[in-house]
Amino acid sequence: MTEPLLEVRDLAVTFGSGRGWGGDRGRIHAVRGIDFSVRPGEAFALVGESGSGKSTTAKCVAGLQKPTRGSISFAGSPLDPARNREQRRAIQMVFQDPYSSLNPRMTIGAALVEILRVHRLAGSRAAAVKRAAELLDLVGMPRSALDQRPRAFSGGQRQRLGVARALAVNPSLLVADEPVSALDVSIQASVLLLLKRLQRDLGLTMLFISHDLAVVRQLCDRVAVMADGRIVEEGAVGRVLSEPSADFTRTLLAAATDLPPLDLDLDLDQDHRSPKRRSTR
Amino acid sequence: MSRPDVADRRLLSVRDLRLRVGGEAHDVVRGASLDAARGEVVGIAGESGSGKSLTLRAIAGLLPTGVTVAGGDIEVDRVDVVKAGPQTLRKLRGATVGMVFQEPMTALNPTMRIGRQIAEAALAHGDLSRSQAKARAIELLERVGFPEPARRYRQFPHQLSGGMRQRVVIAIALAGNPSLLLCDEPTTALDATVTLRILDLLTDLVRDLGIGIVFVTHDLGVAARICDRIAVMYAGQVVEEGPTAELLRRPRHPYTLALLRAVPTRDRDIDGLRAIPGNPPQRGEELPGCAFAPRCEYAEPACRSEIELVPVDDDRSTSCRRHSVLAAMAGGHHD
Amino acid sequence: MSVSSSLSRTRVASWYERRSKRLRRRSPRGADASLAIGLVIIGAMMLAALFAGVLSPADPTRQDIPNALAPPGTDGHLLGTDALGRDILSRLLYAARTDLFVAVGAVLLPLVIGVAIGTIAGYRGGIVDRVVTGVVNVVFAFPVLVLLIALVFILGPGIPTIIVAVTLVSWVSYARLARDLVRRERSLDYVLAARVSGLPTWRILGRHILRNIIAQPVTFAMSDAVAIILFITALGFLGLGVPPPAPDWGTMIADAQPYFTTHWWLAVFPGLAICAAGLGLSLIADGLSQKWNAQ
Repeated sequence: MTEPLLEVRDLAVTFGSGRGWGGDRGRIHAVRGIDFSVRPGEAFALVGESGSGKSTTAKCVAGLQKPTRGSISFAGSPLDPARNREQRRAIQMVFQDPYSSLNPRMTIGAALVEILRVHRLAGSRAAAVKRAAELLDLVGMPRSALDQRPRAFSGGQRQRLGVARALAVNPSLLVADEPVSALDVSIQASVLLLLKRLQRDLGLTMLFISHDLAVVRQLCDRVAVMADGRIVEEGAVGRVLSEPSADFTRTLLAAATDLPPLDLDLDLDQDHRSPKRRSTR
Repeated sequence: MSRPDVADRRLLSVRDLRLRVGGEAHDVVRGASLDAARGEVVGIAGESGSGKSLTLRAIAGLLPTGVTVAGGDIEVDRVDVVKAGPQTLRKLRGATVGMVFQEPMTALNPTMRIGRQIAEAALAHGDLSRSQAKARAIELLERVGFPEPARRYRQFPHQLSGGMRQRVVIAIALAGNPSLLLCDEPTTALDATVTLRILDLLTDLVRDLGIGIVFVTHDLGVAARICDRIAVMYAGQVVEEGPTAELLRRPRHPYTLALLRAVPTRDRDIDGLRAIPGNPPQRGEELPGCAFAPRCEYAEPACRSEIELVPVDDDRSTSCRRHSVLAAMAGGHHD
Repeated sequence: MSVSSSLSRTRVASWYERRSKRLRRRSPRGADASLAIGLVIIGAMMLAALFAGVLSPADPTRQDIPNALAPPGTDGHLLGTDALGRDILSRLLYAARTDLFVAVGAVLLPLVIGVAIGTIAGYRGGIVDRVVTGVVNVVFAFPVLVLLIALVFILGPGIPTIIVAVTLVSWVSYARLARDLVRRERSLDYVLAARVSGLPTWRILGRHILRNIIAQPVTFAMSDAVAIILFITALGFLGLGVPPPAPDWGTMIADAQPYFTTHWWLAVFPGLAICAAGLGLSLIADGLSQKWNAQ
């Protein structure tokens, strides 16, 4: 088995001091000691409902939240709270809300160039601009976006720009915190397809946070189901979806709203003269 | 569109509704038609900007300032909502029409006990004494699934979970004994397991009280679970309407089909997922003919001229000129 | 995969071009008008103050007792003379120098100091935040006039004393405002994104957070400037203001007190000047806040 890229051991996060009148009742145990590891090139999902601790875990991995207890190691070495620049570069994040995750007053170009320059990934300004344009190509956005501010873009486009920003520094791990749940249905698919393509083309390792098992099914290899700050089940996505072992996973699966299968022969030609080719599905 | 079988149970009839935002040159809702009867749940499904919520608010006579009815008729229980004055509308809301909102937290008064909020709604719409109103509130709390309703009467909204809050909002909506419940994305802010229980509650209410529900949602999965019929809206138009299972399995409008193929499902992997190219039109954009035509793989030049919702089969209608193409694809399996 | 994505790319591009043309930002017309009128008023006053030496028909401190209390329109005295026969127009022009200078200084200093302290407290949180909040609350409770009298006693009356006193007291408004804004802003995803991107803290504060919150403190400063001009006026009235014989609008009104009912021009013209300055600054504040809100 390959060495894991990300290894989380006994991670716990507690909010509130516990001092004062409420005693321990004032404390919120968001994450109660969880273990998981993500292998290089793998897409690993944390699934749960609101308050399950999945987003807090993501923030710990991205360095935005200090764990109360436990350790996170990356590529074999421990990540301490004050990460060095190299460690910060290696773990990037895509956020849920495309409307608040881009600085409204900065052009897309300026934001990308800033990150590239700070990490010394471009020798000159011109090189940084060129690289920024390539990043837009990568996520399927027009280069003219460089001179635009976020308000010029729709939710789906902003999410693509958020992905471009995360990829600017060539991360080895991408933490995606519910990246499509704020988007309209028809836009979700295009962002999921983008993430899948990046996964395949760049060999990106991904920690994917979601409440939606159907979305996880599209993108991930393994999944850990979280409830109340604990991991209740972990395994290959196909296995967890078809033969869940934890009660909570079964509840979650039963609650998932599914669509009846389409009863259309989509391979029929547009003007239905002749079938183009028979479906193999 | 009008169905003879439900004529006597008819609660709501919306015909060619057009809504306009003040100062804009084009309508945001451009000819929406819809029926609902007692004992059924009618869904309006669509993405943001499709006009589904505005249509719902127009039915309740609760359009936001600046939005006006530019044409069409809305009839709720034989009351003409478009022409009704404020007095009639106020009587209509509560007594005939109840409304459930997306955000249960903002729909409730945070400083008032939940029981009193329900009792207040009951007082406003019925000839009740204070103690009768309280009894009614307790009864409603029980009806929407609160164990120990007399004790829960005294709780405040912040003491409840999101799902329980939404039950309180439903109880308030039911306080005036309405025959039609208008639900605006009532489960969007809730977790999947909670959503399921709220949907069950709504289904029970339809069965036990014989009310009708209009259920606005962006989530086809949720619509599939609760709705008897679905109207799909896109850019202010109802593009397709029909019985839920038929519509979702054999859509007769390319937008419905595209939407269904864009939804991630558990039984399909990502290679079966199809993004819809392009973006929905902007509000106020001029859209001659079918609004979906610019993104549609079946579109032909004629799609850019006038369109209308026409009946197909017995019980369905679509606005697509080329619906026979989709019908033929379904035929491939049956003939 | 690649087919559908390249398809969507071309459609997105053409859609995008149409849309960006239509949405090119226009700021609300009312905001532009307010801002323009405000800038014209304040600009004119600044120019008048700057060229007071050229524009003044007379020396503002030269007394001419025989011509005292001459009404407006008297030969050589367009706006009349005061009780000591000094030319009111000249005094108004020179007073603009004093008052605008004090207003600018007494606004800029607290703005810079307050926003800096508030931003750090809001971003750092924890003990730093608690200390700053504590100090802010104490200063809020402190009576300005008592502090000013103490300072006049220590530093002596004069323009620097006024600026120091106002700064000592009013930085707290800016600190509290900036702290609250930064606390709200720092939890937004774009700030988290900047942190994940590994940007240095000073950069996140300056280029990201400050740029998004600065509109409110600056707008507040504009309206605060109006309050400060009125405050200097009040000080002049109490005799704690700009020491004579240097003219300022407040002292001019204070000196005119015995003549309010008999010689209206002594108080009315400096009063109008104060009104105009207040109106100009308010219009600028209003225009700026509308413009920024529109973004």
